[in-house]
Parts: sequence; structure tokens; C-alpha cells
Amino acid sequence: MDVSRRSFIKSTAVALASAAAAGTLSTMVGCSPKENTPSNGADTETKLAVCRFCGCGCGVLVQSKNGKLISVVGDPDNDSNRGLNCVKGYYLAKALTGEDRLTKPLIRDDKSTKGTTEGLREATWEEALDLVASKLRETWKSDKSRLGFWGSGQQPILEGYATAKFWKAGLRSNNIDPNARLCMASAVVGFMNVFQTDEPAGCYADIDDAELIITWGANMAEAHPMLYSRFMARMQTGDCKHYDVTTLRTRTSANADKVMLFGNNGDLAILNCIANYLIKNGTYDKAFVKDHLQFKMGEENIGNSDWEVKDGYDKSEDGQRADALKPCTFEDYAKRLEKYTWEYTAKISGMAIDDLKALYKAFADPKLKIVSFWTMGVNQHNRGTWVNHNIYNIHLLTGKIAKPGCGPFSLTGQPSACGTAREVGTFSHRLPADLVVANPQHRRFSEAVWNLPEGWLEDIAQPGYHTTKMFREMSNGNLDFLWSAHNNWAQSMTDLTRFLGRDGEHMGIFDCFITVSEVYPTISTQYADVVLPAAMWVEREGMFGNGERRTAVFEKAIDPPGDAKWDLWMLMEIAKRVLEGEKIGDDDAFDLLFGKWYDKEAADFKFETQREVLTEMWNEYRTFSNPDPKQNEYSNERIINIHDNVDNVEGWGVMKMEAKQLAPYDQYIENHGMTWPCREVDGKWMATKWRFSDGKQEDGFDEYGVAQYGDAGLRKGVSFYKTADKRPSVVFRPWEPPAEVPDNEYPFVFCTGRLLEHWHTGSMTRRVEELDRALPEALLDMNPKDVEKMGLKDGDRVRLVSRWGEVEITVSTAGRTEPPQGYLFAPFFAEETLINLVVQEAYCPLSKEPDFKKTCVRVEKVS
Amino acid sequence: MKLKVKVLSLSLAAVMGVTALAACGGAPAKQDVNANVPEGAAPTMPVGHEGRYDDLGLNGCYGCHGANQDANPMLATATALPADHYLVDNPTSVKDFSSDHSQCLTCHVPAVG
Repeated sequence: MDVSRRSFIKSTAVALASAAAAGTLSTMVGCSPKENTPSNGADTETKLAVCRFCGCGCGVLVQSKNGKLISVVGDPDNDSNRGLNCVKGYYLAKALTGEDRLTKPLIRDDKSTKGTTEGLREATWEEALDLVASKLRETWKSDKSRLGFWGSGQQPILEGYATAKFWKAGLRSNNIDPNARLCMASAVVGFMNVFQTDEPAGCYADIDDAELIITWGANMAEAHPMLYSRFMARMQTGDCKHYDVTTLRTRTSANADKVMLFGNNGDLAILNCIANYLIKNGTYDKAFVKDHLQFKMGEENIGNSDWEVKDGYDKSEDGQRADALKPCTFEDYAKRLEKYTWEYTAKISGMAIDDLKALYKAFADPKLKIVSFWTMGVNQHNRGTWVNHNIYNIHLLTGKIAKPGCGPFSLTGQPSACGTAREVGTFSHRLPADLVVANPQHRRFSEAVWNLPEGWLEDIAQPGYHTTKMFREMSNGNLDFLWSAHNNWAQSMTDLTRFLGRDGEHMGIFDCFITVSEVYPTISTQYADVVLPAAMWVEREGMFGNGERRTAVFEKAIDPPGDAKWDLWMLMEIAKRVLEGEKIGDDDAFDLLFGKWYDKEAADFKFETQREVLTEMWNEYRTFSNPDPKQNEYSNERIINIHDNVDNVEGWGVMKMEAKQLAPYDQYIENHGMTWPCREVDGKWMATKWRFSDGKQEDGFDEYGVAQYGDAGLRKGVSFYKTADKRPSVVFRPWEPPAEVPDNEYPFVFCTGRLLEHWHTGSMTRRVEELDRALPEALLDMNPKDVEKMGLKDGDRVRLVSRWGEVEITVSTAGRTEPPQGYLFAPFFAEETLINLVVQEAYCPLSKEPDFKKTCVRVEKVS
Repeated sequence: MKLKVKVLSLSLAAVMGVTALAACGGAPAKQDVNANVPEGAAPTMPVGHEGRYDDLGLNGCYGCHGANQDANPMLATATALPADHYLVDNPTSVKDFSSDHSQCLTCHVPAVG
């Protein structure tokens, strides 16, 4: 069936890919009205690209004509989406052409206009760059703890790589963090704690073989639409069931075999309950436990960064011990689980005992192939890292991992949350390729790859400001310079009442010099001192890395409008100015860091095409994961000696960087994206679909990784070779309550999130008329009984009030979600309904990811 | 949220006609809401179609827009599903439909929300 479908799509569409160079196309896929059949003429050109919205990372084909995009369709040769596209993907071209696109640099001369739509005047690039660079240099020279960069999971990989290199090696500051902190940080810390490597063992193709798919706090139908379509196609074979574990019914619930409702952080208890009975009944995989696992205990009762504690949490006793782990026995672990009986768990979570038993029964079936998908309901959680742990625990206890159709899979929120935020290290605690600033071997290795003097990175041994900390410090008046790109923090951050200075106390936003690289006016640009107009999506070439470890290239298809520029050029020009006259060792600082690809005198790149620039950068970046100089001409003896620890430095080891091995740049175009680790076999580069799983590389298994560092013949044919002692950790994580629980004053639990038509804060999708018309307003979804009890009706305006702030919104009982009584939902895409004014600041103490899902509120009718 | 339908069962083809007629009995579109849809993109559902997928699922859409060997008269005014939504070159029923495309709302959003 699949072959037939793909063959058909290929025949009708992606002859396009191979015909792209010739600029001639035949027909298009999609539900096209007849009048919209694409052009067939030789004046059209087709380029390979990746959708710039959600974490699915769908491959698309972009057709342009006379310098304008005219169509975007799914790429059938990209294995992530196999030709499918969702409505946001189809309308990508229109997202670039909103009437108010930013095309000139803008400067605010009068700070009193901050927070309004007024006060920005047009400027030249020279004036804007000089101003930004002078403010950054001034702050850097006086007190570099007072500067910050806030990036994004929408920043292309190599732009993120260059930003991290500038910030960490140039400015020697860790005050850089991405908005991926808001969506993926709990998954990251979970991965690192359990496996010591970030990102999943499985891939999207697991959907096609799964026999049960469990969604844990994930509205895939709206937030990951193409994966949901693939999932529903699998369901239609009749060989796969779906359990939706959720706090409120969503579109994803509609086709589920069971919708299992819970609340009160009950996911922690539910997962422990399953583990408890797996052990108690002897239905776990004993050989897998013996061959592969180690057991640990974490700290407990670690408090919250909540209303009382707030800014002091990280330094508090609870905050300081939150990360600690200690080894324990299997029996110790089992003993702690005993409390999680059916009855206790049902009482804590509100989940029906029959549902708990159904989940247990599924995991107890040794033959059943189960995929767990989770996303923001798990990650945006005051114990988000713990829930990640507990999901891994039950998959590890049953050996349901790293095999086709079977495994825990953390869905990502953004198109390059993995590729950029995680892989190249734009977090405040990271270096490229899973390396961390706190590890001295990692610092020495990064110095070697970047050709820095030994010890240069000692200044950044301590992590910098994580996202919430960065905005807290700004609001407290402790940040003098902030630069943001590819995000809209003034709408997407929690506790905007404080961070936007609307509480009358925290007014730092008005004093901090703020630079915003943007494509449209947003709430963030209303607070900017300088706005830098950016090239958007295929107006330049770039790379994204999606949730299944797929790295893919999007080609430049058209020029940016007006004076909008490539972000990488902006970065080089600002870095050049800030580092003027600075030395690293005996070398000019800028030239040592960026001189291979940028000519500062010419104010331009040293290569003719963007692809050549990016290829040169890629060759440097992939040296982190291809350190053997015999195989990589960009590596050298210094790099491999640190990697292999040839000097036997105490506390160091072999770094096993090939676990993330990457292919040459052109391979990602030729193969329509590849999932790392990539292996060269007889001159041909091959991707890996199932990491740590032994088998033929050509079939997608991790043959060469297991052969190099792992062990053959272990249970289920897997070897977790990147993990300490090759044994992932099962960590006991108890149930603890949400940061806020309902009370008489704030009786409702409020949750916010995304819906299908709009991407994040709507700054792009709301400029597409079809998407805006389809979902024009953010509504407050309420349970009909709550509406009746409060004397409300659909369409009433209400005030949503929390401890953190308030916002007005319209009530609906016919919205996208069906909250149970006591629960509320509203999306955050609408800037006129600034939902995050009410959302709490509390975050997971381990990952520092805020809990957007459980703010306690009350509802007041607006008279 | 009104979505109550189950995933399409491929054996339901026989009931399609009746379901479809019931589903698409509303007023015709009053404006060309798809005048500016990009080439190759999925058109939006015309005004008056809101809630149909929610209530009826793929069956509700297929009844008017799908290939049917019994010749669905509604096709005279409904946009026919394009060839790439099917598994075969000459589809005759919902059994020939590509299961990857069963979530109509993923691409075809309402013209007016």
C-alpha cells in the first residue's frame, strides 16, 4: 500500500526534486482547485526545503517564479513526512509576504515609547549595527553578567552554531539560551540523566510498526499534524491501538481507543504504578534489566520556584540539591514503588483503575510493540524531568526501546529545537554536540576544535542564565543588553505581567537595551531599542534538525525583501565590531573564530554562494563528531588526543563523539535529510534510524556504533554504548504535587498551548488570511457545567485572574478542547489576548522549563 | 470540541452515499474563499461546511468529494479529491482512499472559524 502511494506521489510531484535544477516542473500534489494548478513553464524553479514551523520537520518542495514563492508541497523523498503536508506547510509561501514585513533597520530614540507601537524610526544598517555593537561591547567590557542572547529552536543549525561560538568563545559568556528551554529542556535533562546522550533512540518510522501508541500529554493532531496523519494511517490497518493519556480531551482524543483522563501531576504516580505492578507480578523483562540497566534514587521534596520562593529558588537548599542522584539496588527501587497501588494511584491522579490496569497490561505483554509519544504536557511541568524519567523507566523495565515500532519518543516542539538548541549548544550550560561547559574534558575538546589556546574556555565553566533567570534578571534591572532572534519572548514567556513591567515593580525592561532580529512587528519589537530586519526561511539557505535526529537542508529560493538580511551576516557584522582589536592568544579574535568564512574588511563572506559558506562551517562543526583525522581532514592530533584521552587524565575517558557522527553537507541535500549518526560504508553515507540497536546499517540499525563502542549479543540486540557503564539509569521519581493547587480563591487549573492553524505566537501564521480566518480568536475553553454553574454562556467576556496577572477572554464550550470540570484551556497565539500575563513562573527544578499547563486561576464575568 | 468520529473503517464504503447526502445538504458557498489559495495548497472548506468533519469525519467529506462508482450527483458542484489522495489510478470507492489523507482537517481548515 505504502509503495503504491509513494510511487504515485512521485510520479505526480517529485520528479520535481530531480528536475529542480532545470527549473521545470510538471504537476503538484494537494487538493488544488483547477485554477490553481501550478505553472509548468521553464520560468519556475523548485528547491528543496524543510517546513519552518513545528518539530515534525517535514520536507517540502518550494516552487518560485519571478522571484516570488508560488507553492509549497510535501517532499515525498523526505522520510519524515513522505510527501504529506499540513495546512501551515501549504501556506508557508504566504507567511513571507505579510503587508507589514520588516524591510529596514529600525531604531528607537525615545525610550518612553517602549511598550507601544510607536517610536521606531528607519535607520541604515551601518547605524543600527554600530549602535547594537557599541552597546554590547560596552556591557561586555563593564560586566558581562549583564548581557544576554535569547535564541530559538527556529534558528537554523549553523546560525546557532556561529552564535554559540561567538558568545562562548568570543565573549566567553554563557548568558545564551534558546526558547527551546520553554519546550524541550525537561526532555533534554531526562535524556542526559538516563542515557548521557540527547535525543531519541527511535524514529518516526516506529509509527508504522507500533501495535499500541500512547500519547502522554500530547495533542499531536494539532501540534504535530503530519505525524498524527501517519499515526492515523497506521490505526486504519487495524493493527494498532491508541491510548490518549491526558488532562483534557483534544482532537487527538477523537480517534483514541481509550481516553484516560487524569490530573494533579498524576502522570508521575501512574507511571510508578505501572512499574510497581510490572515488578510485583514479575512481568518485566528480567534479562533486559540484567544486561542493560542500573538503578538510582533522586532527591525528593525539592520545592518549587513558585510564588513565595521565586528568584531565590536556584540558590536555595532545595534548588541546589535538586539534580543529585545516588545509586541504589533494584530492590530499593522496587520498595519505593510499592506505595503506588491501583487505589492510591487512582486517588492521587483521578485516573480510573480500569485505565491504569489497561496501561499495565499493555506493558506487561512482552510481545506488544508500544510507542510512547509525549510533548509539552510532560515537559512543561513542575516535575517535567521526573515524568520523562518515569516514562523511560517503564520502557526500560520491559525492554521496549530502540526497536522498530517500540520505544519512548519525546516529540519536539520546533523545527530545529534538536538541530540547533540541543545539537550545537545554544543552551546556557552546553557546548556543541552534547558537550557541557561544566566538564573540563569537554572544554578542552571544544578549544581544540575551535583552535583556541588551552584553558581559553575556563571562563565559562559555570552555566549562565537559563531563560527564566535571564528574564527575571532583566525585570530586576540587572540586564543591560539583550539580543533576541527567531522568537517573540514578549508574548511567549511566562509571567508577562512581571517581565513586561506591568506590575509596576519590575521595570527593568524599560532600561535594558534590547535588540530584536525579526521579520514582522511583534510585541517584542515594541520593547526593542533596535530592530534588525531578517531574511525569512528560504530567503537564505540553512539547515534544520528535527525530532527524529534528521538533519535537512532548506535551499535559498528567493531574495529577502528590501534591506532584510541573513541573520548570519548580522551576527558577523556585530561580532566584527564587538571584537575589534581583541586577541585570542596572538591571533585576531574575530579572524580566529570566523575568518575562515568571513572577510571583515569586505563585510562579506569569503565564498560566492551561501552553500559554500555553510559547507565550510559544517565541516568545522562536524569535526566535533568526526574527530579522527584519518577520516576528517578538518581534524587534527590535538583533537583526537583529547577525545581518546591519550594522556590518561584522571576523570576523563574516551568521549565517543562518533555517537553523533554527521555526513558531509551535500549528503543532506542528496538524501533529502539524514538521521544521525551517519556512517560512511564503502564510500556511501548511510543514516541510522534506531540508535544503539544492532543490525545492518543499510536497514537503519546502528551497526557501526555498536561495533565500535558497544557489546554484541545482549538482550534484544541493543547496546547503550554512549551511556556510563553502558547502562541507562532507572531513577525513582515520586509523585509530588503541582506548584499550585486549586483553592477557593483560584479554583480552576488553566492550561495553554498551540492549535493547528497558528504557529506559536501567531506572528507569521496570523498574516496568512486563510489561517487567520480559520482561527481568528483565542477562546477560553470551559466545561459546560462550569459555565452553567457560574451563570455564564458562550461568547461572554470574562477576566481570567491568577496570582501572576489577569487577562480578558471570551468563553466557549465548543472550542477545540473539552476540559473536564475545574479545568480551562486557551491558546497563546493571539497578542490581543495575552494569555501569558496569567501564567505562573514556576519551573522544573532540574530542567528550568516552566510549567505552562497548571496555573491556578479564577474566572470573573466582565460586566 | 465536537469531534466524535472514529477513524475511517475501509469497509464503510456502502454507506457513503447516504451519509454524504445528509452531510452536504447545507447552503452552497456564498463567496470564493479560495481565491487567493497558493498553487498546490489545500483549499479551505467553504462557508457553511463548519463542523462537518467534526461530526461525520472522512465519510462526511468523501461523500461529496470522493470518487464513487455509483456516481455521486453532488460531485457536479463539489471539488473532486485529487488523484494523490488515492492509492490507485482509477479509484471507485473509499476503499481506494489513501489512509495518510484521512485527517481532512489537517489540511482543509474552515474558511471562517
